[in-house]
Amino acid sequence: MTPFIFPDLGPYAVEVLSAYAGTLALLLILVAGSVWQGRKTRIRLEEFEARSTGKRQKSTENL
Amino acid sequence: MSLSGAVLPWVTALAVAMVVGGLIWGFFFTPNDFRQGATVKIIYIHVPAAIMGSGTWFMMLAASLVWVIRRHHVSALAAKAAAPVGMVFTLIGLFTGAVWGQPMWGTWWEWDPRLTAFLILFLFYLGYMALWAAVENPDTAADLTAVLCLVGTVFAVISRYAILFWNQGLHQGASLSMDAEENVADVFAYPLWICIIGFGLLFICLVLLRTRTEIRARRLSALIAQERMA
Amino acid sequence: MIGLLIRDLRLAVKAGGGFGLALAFFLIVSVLVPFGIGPETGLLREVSGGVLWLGALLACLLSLDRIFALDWEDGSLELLATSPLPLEMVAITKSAAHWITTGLPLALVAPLLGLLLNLPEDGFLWLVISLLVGTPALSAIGTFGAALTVGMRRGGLLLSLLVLPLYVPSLLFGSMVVSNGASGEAVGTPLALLAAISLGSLAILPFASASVLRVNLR
Repeated sequence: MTPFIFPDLGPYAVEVLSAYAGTLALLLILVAGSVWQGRKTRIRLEEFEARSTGKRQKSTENL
Repeated sequence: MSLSGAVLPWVTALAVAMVVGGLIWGFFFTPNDFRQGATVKIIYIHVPAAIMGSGTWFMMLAASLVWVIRRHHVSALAAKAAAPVGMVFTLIGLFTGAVWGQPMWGTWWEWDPRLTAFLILFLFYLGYMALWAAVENPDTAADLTAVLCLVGTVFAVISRYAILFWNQGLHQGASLSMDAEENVADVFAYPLWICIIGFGLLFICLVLLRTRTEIRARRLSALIAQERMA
Repeated sequence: MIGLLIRDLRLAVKAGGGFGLALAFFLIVSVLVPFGIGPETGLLREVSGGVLWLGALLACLLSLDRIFALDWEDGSLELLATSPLPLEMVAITKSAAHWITTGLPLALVAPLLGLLLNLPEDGFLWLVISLLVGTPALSAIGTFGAALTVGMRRGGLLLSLLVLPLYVPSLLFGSMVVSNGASGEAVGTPLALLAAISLGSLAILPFASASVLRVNLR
């Protein structure tokens, strides 16, 4: 395996690293936000559907 | 929904692999540029983000057209879902461009045609998202935002040429075109293409995910409304 | 259609109609600019063309929500929609009324404000011409934005966010005409493009405005 060396960023270390850091942060916010929103909606929908099927079952029970 | 559900994990895995792989390759295993030093490493995020920033708008345009013509609910929701993704990509493009530009051009910002057009695109995304948020009825919102997207695209194209006329720029010419002399050297090009494709896949996976969320949300509000009326 | 136009013009000019407000705003902004950037004559000469265009644009922007708001509130917009007059014609008439009460007066008043901002002599003619040619686009685009946001509470801010990016080409070419004209450079191309944008907007946007109005009136 080639020996691993951290690249020499020269005088531009701050710029390069902050560009990568900022990008990763923004992408993380986007992805995490999307996943969280998706999960929340899915759970709410499932709960709602369970509740309404539950109600329908209950109401036919007493007939 | 079932198709997108089956496809999503694969697209996600592939997207993550390519983005991470491409960035690692680009960051750790490519040399510095003769003129630009290590800042050339920013290209691996800046260019893919910029491409996806504009690409997303075109996808939204297509989806809006499908909605206007065929009234396929999924297309309207897909456009709505894609907007924040495009906005973030555009923001990344602007941000990385500024950080790259500062050491290279001596300035955080220049009213160069490409940057300016990109900034306007960012504003278009904001307006589009704001309109979706401001209208309660989802079908009305879909109609209004679709027309806005269409009109906005026309003006975006006009603006592009107006801005070019207004200020001949200092942004680099096309570096990835098939024939230009300004081509990026191969050693940079390979990881760059991987990042571009990776970002494209990331876009697809995020839009799939978000559209599924929108569909579920729609179903939920329809059910709630139904229950209220029963 | 003429009846609609005259009615709108009359409404705009009446007290509270907002006719004078756009002009007053234009004046105030022009006065404020030197307070913001300093009174140095050389600097003002440089920026006056663009600043005046910007002021006119903002003054137009402020009067946009009035295009449909009053009719929406008292139900006359629905009447207009069901009348034999096509909604596209209604939109164009509204744009025309807006222009006559906003763009046109602004263009005529601009030279006076040019004096305040040390506009170079050669610039005055081009200022008026560019505003006369360019403000119809602002009215047509603004009508579209107003149609999108009609009936929204606090729609004003959203209206600005939607419309201002669409104003960019007109602003670019309009101020180019003035600055080129003032410095003696060629004015033909930006003026032609400015006119093209105005004509194109007037030709196409009424259709977009009408379809959006129909959506909002559902």
